Amino acid sequence: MQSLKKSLILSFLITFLSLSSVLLSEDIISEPFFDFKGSLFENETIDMTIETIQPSTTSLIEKRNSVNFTGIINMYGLYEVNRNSNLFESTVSNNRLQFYSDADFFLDFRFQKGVKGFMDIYLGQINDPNVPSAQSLIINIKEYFVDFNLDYTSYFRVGKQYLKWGQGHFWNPIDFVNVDKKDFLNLNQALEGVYGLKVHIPNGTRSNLYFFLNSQQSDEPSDLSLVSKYEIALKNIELGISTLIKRNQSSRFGLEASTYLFGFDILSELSIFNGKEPFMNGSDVQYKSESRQYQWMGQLSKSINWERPNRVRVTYEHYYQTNGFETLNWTDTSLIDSLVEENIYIPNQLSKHYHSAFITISEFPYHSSNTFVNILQNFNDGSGLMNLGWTYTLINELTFNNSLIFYFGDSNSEYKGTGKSIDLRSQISLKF
Amino acid sequence: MNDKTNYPVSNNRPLTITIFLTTILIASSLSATSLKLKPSINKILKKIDKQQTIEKDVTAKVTILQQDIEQGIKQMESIYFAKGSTDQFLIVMTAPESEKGNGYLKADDHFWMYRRNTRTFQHISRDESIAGSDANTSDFETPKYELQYKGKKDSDNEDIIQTVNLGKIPAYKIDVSSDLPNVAYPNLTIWVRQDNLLPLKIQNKSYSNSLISTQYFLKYSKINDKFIAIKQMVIDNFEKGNKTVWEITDITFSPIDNHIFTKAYLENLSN
Repeated sequence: MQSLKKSLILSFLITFLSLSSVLLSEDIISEPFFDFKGSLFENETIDMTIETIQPSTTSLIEKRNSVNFTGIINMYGLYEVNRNSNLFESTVSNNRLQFYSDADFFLDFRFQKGVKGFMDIYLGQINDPNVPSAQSLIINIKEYFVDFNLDYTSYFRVGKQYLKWGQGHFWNPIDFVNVDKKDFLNLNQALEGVYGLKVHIPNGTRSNLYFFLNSQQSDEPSDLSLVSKYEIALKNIELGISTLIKRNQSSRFGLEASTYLFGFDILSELSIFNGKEPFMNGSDVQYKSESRQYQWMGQLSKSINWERPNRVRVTYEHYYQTNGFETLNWTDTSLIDSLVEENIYIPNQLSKHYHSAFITISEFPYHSSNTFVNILQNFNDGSGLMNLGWTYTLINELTFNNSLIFYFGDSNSEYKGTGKSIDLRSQISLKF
Repeated sequence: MNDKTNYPVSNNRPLTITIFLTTILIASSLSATSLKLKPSINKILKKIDKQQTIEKDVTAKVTILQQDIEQGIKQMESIYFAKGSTDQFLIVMTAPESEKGNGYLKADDHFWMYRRNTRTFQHISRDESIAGSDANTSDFETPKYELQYKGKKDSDNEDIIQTVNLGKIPAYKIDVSSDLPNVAYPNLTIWVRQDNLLPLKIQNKSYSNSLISTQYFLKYSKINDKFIAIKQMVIDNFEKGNKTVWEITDITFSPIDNHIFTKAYLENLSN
């Protein structure tokens, strides 16, 4: 009897504890579904019904012919302070105010089976008292080309075209194609194309083969050059190998790699060539081709990029070329004139070492605006420029861009040699 | 005599055992009922993945409506292609004109972002927001919660699963984290429906557990036994007031040619 009593008490306790745990587990907390207060979407509700639907049969790829006309109009205001140049324009010493504008108009013709045509018509106007009014209007067709493909296995583009050849942010040593160079102060500017035929043969998503037959300034077949590139994406790296072949000119070989490590995007480009490049060797000024010897030369760029999407983006890039200048007398106007005449002077690519940094903070200092600092420095002479600015987007199509550009270094240096100290630059861009 | 005195004892023993066993059975069944209502976090994650993984090729139209507190409302449209048997997808922007032609191409661990104005294919490691909105490319990937995230546990190494009512909907609330470098958000708080374990709401959090954005799954549709969240909303908790709603329409399961998932095709669609 005693045992039965004990058993009943024990059973009661077990049952009580079990019931308690179940009751406790069902102590349900209520939370609001939407924990925000909004304007546009505050009437959104959760739809608990799950309806079964049938797959659509509509084709989403537009199959009819179409013509699109778009463009961008830019208005610039530039105030150059303490301009006291002994280079290129040695007599000017006043501060200078300029207003000018330009526009790119894009025409895009679409046909079936991926056939299309494209044209970029550039229109620019310079408002400068030193420029005759007859010459102040610039009209240029930056690009016009036709695209077609062979059953989506090989893609062809023929005409005047700008090719993105290399992934570098500012320097592209493996760019064996383009003539127009990136403008440090306007990196998104549409660049002028070169004439030729591009062939792109994809092999799945991971590998691609490109050829470009360059007919720029070619009067006869022997003037043509052929650029090729093969790229492949391996485990977590994308590699590219490229070559430039041109008669009576040294071949060039390029290698590019991009990967990511610890949240950083890392990429590098290397080009090597052997020949009588119209370039100088160290401080020995031998820019005349007949006085120069064959030698191996190379150009290397490395960049590292970190980004928190829509918040902060930081890019650092370094450029090195074996045969760049370590020293150069930037006050020697005849020397600089000669370099310009020989097409040797390429801004931001004349010395041995350069580096640059690009920092953009989104939504700062307030909403709809971005603040950026872009710095470019010639490592060898210590000069450089810093572009500090902010952009404000009033509506998606209209952007204001204001920046202060500081030039630093000795007066005998690449960036200070022009005599510039500070530029105040404003730009209004309208996209349509 | 001894036998007599022992009778009651021998009579009570089976009864005691019966009561005790019955009690244990009742208690066990109550506990089992309680446990059955709470699947493990791993099971929840596995179910989310399984229910939403579509093994067929998918083409769909994605409309993104973004409300920016200063710039107003922006509507974007894109076409989404996904190769069911692989981890490939392609998103091509079709509107507005300023975004048209930009695209996102993914194959396994490789992700390229194409910018029309510079004709650049940027090979990047991270997820990217679509056209600056709060819709992320990871939102269009085959879900891999089970592989990428682990549930948070208490001091007894038991899964922490809360039973809550989200609005009026019975839900489970779980916290998961990931130490993988390429996930969009290292910490998540997920609310799933109790009846079918479909996500209702996800809070996306940083390494330090600060709230970045909140994702609401407003409507699901069932196509060929798979669930697709055809309407979602993301609230930007960083920039208060910014909201993005996207809707998926015109879903097809027709086979997609491999040539779609190439840089050449994306560039051809663009300029």
